[in-house]
Amino acid sequence: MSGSYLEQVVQPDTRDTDIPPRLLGPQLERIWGTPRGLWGFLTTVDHKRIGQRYIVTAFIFLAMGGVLALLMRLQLSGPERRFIDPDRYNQIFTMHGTNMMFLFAVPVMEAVAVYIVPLMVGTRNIAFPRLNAFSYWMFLIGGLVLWVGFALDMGPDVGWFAYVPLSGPQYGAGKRSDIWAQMITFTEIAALAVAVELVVTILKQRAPGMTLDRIPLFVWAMLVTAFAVICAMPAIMIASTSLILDRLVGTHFFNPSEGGDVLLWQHLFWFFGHPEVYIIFLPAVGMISSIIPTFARRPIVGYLPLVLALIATGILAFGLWVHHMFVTGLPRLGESFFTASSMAIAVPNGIQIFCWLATLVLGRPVLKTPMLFILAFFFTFVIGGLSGVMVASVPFDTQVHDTYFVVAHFHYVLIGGAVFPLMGAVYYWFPKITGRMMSERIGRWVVGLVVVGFNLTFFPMHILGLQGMPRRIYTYQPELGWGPLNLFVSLSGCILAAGFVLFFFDVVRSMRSGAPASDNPWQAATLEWATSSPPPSYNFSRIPVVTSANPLWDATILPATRGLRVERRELLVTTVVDAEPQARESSPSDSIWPFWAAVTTSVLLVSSIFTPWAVVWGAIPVTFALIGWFWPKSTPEDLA
Amino acid sequence: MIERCVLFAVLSLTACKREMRDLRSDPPEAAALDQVRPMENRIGGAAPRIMYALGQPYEGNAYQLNQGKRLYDWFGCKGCHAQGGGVIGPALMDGWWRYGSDPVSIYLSLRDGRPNGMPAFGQRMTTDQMWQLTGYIRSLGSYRPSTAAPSRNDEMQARPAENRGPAAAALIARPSR
Amino acid sequence: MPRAVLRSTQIVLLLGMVMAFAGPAAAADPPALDAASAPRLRAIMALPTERSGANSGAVVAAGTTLFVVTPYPQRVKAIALDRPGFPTRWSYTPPSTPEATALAANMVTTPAVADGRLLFVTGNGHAIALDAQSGTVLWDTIQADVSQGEMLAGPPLVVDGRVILGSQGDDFGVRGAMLALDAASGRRLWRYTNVGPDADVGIGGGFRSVALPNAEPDRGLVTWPAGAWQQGGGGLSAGVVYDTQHELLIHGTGHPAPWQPDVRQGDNLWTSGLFARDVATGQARWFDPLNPHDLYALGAGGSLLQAELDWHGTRRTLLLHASANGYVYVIDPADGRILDAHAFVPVTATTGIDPETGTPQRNPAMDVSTNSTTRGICPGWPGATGGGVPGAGSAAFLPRTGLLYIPASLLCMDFEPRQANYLPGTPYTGANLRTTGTPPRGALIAWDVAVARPAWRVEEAFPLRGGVLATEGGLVFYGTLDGWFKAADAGDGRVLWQFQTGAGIVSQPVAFTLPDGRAAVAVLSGAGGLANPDIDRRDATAAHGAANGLRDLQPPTDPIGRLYVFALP
Repeated sequence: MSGSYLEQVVQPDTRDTDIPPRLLGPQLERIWGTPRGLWGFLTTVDHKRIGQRYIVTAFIFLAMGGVLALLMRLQLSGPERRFIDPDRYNQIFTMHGTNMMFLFAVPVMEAVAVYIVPLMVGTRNIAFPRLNAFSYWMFLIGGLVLWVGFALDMGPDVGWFAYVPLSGPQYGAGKRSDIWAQMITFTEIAALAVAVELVVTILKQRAPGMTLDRIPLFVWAMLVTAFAVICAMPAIMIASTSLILDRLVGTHFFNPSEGGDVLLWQHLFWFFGHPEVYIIFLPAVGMISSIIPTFARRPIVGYLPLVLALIATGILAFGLWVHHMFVTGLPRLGESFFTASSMAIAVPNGIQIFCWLATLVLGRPVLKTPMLFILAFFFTFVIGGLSGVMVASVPFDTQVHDTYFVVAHFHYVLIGGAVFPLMGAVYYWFPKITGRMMSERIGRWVVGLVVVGFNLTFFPMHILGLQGMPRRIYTYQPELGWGPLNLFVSLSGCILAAGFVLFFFDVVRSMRSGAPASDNPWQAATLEWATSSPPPSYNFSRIPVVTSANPLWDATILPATRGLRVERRELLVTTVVDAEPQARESSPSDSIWPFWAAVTTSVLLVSSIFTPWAVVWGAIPVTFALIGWFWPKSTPEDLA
Repeated sequence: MIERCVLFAVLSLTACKREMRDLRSDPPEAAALDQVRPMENRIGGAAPRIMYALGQPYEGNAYQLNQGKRLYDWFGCKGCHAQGGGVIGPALMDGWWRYGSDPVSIYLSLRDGRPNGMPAFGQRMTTDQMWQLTGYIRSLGSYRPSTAAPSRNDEMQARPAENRGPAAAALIARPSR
Repeated sequence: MPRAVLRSTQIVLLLGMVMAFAGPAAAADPPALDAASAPRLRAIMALPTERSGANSGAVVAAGTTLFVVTPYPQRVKAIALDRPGFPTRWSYTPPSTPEATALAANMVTTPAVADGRLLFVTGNGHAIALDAQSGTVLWDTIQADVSQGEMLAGPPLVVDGRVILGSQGDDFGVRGAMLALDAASGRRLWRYTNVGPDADVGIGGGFRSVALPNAEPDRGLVTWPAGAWQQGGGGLSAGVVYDTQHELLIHGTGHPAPWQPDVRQGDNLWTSGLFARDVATGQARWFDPLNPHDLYALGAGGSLLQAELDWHGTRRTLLLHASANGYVYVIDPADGRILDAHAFVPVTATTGIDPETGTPQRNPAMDVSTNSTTRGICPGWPGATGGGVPGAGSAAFLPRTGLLYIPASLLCMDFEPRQANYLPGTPYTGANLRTTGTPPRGALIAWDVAVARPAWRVEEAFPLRGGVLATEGGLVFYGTLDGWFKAADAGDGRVLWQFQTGAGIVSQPVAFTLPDGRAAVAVLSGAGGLANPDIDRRDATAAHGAANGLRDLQPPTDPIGRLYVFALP
């Protein structure tokens, strides 16, 4: 009925002012919506659907990685256990680390950003939405390659940082390391694509009036993260590509006998690997900075110092990779420099912590589940930070290098620093994404189980490390006396696992039968809460106009822009600094080509594990897919 | 997705055999692996039956070939055969074999030695090791590129890598003798 | 193969017939072999040795008989020079064992003739004396344990009824030894190793070393890591010279084992130096450490000879040693004092010889360490001169010109020490090496000993691995790896005559007089090594790295060695 009416009314260059407000929503849905069925699934470029998919996939990988962790704990629960053989154990710890870092931690943070950032900056879709779709398919296939490899006994077995020469052609037998290296290529393509989208979205698609000092802190955090990704990922892509070349065609990047360098691998890897820690942690900082003001019921204290701390962390993150390499015999001066820079990064992190604490002290905190996760974060992350300062000192690091002390340290930092805030963020944004609330009662159980389970599991690992237990061993002798503590760790690991199982249960339960959520259930201040829960395909029927840093708190009625076209996908481009409206920009429609491009690229990358000729022959289908993708359209692109 | 599933299914058939790692044979298995039945002239013969029961791991298993490569280094094979090009011993990478190219012949060469200077390693290596080395030496003189054979050495670059099928690219036609 | 034999036999027969007719006419007044007549040299014999390995020996002419010992499995032939067609007077094939084939591939097969006995060594460790007239075996003793990789190296030297032999197995971790046999009975008179405790080495009260003045005991032990001397190498290297004035045997010692230098920290005495031993007792008299802790496994190879020359105004008999490390040493044979040492080829491994100690000053840029490749080490293996085995590739000195004619290699090498494991009877080397170089990779260098610089040099595409013969007539004969046998003017190096033998030459040319009074020159062709069809040159490390540096050396169509005799018509 309204459809046929709209067909009559909507002509080329119809603006949102030309049709009745009652019909604006249906018309925008007609233009922005995704068709149902498999075709819609494969072609959609909606950032919310892709973000959702991204998040779900990443959490599935988290669960699978968690199962691997439990298998390892089962094997280590007592001395001389025969549950897993050493070869499979090598694959399992490598898969666990690789999976958690490359398939869960980085993607899930970017995934949340893919979903939330366009909503937070008040735009209708992410920049380069087809690239976004491509990115997801690449991520998915990369993850599948790794896990299928593992299922076929081809899982990498060289540790998640795959040091040469162990992973090189001479000692890395078979195709295991190649699978690892190509998985890196897949995930890095995906991550780089998302990073570029985020930078452009944040800098050019903000709602009018959202000047740089009004950008929500999560968006700031993602901007810094995206730049860090753009600067860090090429290093690992160079490294993994060099490794593949060394292994497959016999180049000598990592062969010291022919002028290569083994340490080059470590430099390249950690030049990515250390910023990676902050690529995971900075989004968490953003999440915390979003959750705390909401539940403290006041604007964040120290917006400017927090932004500066984010930027400082992002920059300093590139200056301390060498602290992973203290035992490689580097010059003293270099070691001292990197010790100092490792300690220096504690300064911006300290500023953040104190800003948050001040916000909590000055506000009236409401202890809902997301907030409980943030409190758990404070406790855990500070312990991880303290052990971090310990291993930043060369003499201490030399003692505990490659022991369980380090294992304990980075799990405290990564789980405490990133996973707890992430789980808080899931509880926080779940209503917006699904339109249903998660259970507060179960949530408190989850917090309790996870936090207690985590600390009981990982704190004793510090002691095991100091007792000399090396990481990555598949078993140990009873005489070493590590048995009781390991048994305790393994049992505690079950508590932690129970917490996660309950969490997943709550997610599934809430999705089906959670209490319906209002548009802004937490009374938060940022723009994503200004639209419905879940948001419509076009996000906002009219692009909001922002006049303060906390728009939903400071304005009773949000002003909105007018004049965007409704008969095609169109959004508003604004200036970088002041977010002044600049242009109406068309946004690409659904397309199957990103999917085909991802499939053909995957065939090329996977086949190139087996023969270098795959690069030649595989490039042909990729070329066709890209031609299809970039085939010139007759429609004009930009309208001022 | 279907085509990928098919691809992975096909790969899996080869991958399992290529990637499996049997770190040590059971003693009865190792003993049975020594049961080669050579021809009278000690060239060629029947492989032990258990070899087929095990799926011929020393032919296409990456780990076993890789172990063979390490043994080639450790047991001083380079001293006589260089990296496959030969010194006082003959080349191993040119596809020419004085005493047969099949696994049994090479195994016998290693275990019992050969005239003209090849020492016997039967008392110095385990049965597993000799079969691993056999597999590696065969990959060194292979005519076909292989996904299981090792790639270049982490040392002075001297020759085409084993996974390229070094014998296929033999530049110098050997005179028949 | 049979066809080749047949063809060669035809050639011999044909040449024999030519000789038979030409002989009487030339008998009246044989022309002298000199620069003027050299272009008229003709081959009068091309006898196949029927062995394809390195034909690196020299023939010995005694009376009217020419004795040749083929490469392994050895076969001795006594060729009658006084009969038309040069028939074989007798031949003898000692028992051989196939196990020794690979080991013996590079041995020098030069025999010695003394007191009516023909003395020679075989690849399977036998020292044998035959009656030179009849070829009957006088005695046959085993003096080297082939199963451990030990072999008798170099030509026997007969001094006062003693047969001096050296053993070598440096690449197999065998302690090399010097020994003397009674020439009449084959009984062993003495045997001393070149590595080990003083008692084994024969170091006693009479030992003095200019370079190593403090006389601590057992330096052959303490300059090695514990126990490493037991696989220390140090076999005979550079041939044995007998100094009649001081009654000293002077010989070089080979490189320490393994090649990998990091597992043998220390000076590794008494390897890679020059020993002087008392001929009667074998006791050591002096030692010159030429390359302490020899990094590049070259040993004191090369050539060692005695020469009488004017040294700073005095006529003296001095030792001239053109060493594998690229230096010519002038040494006083009385006490081993190094009087002078200068590089005769471009050397990068060292920067000069320390005048105090006589040892080379290392170039730190050319230091080697485990698992890393050092590039551009000159000279490359097996050294600036010599064929890598004692007695091969000897230089020659001509008193008339005062020049030392050195067959030089200009190859350099890349060297990478690797892990080395000792397994008795297998090579104990532990290194990757590939030689490098572009033409000219070899040269005949005429070294003016008095002014310590080359007078001239003849550049060659390939390194010279065979010896040099300098004749009184003013000719210098040498062979090349691509099969040319050349005669150059001893005064200015002009190549006066050359002959293509069909296979590379790594042997020592010999001059003698035919029964009819004509001067003759004999040389063996057949180079082995890279010419061996069992070598695949795509492996740069094959044939001790020769596959890389000599990649363009064409293999001969027929790798069988031949004995060539040349004479004026």
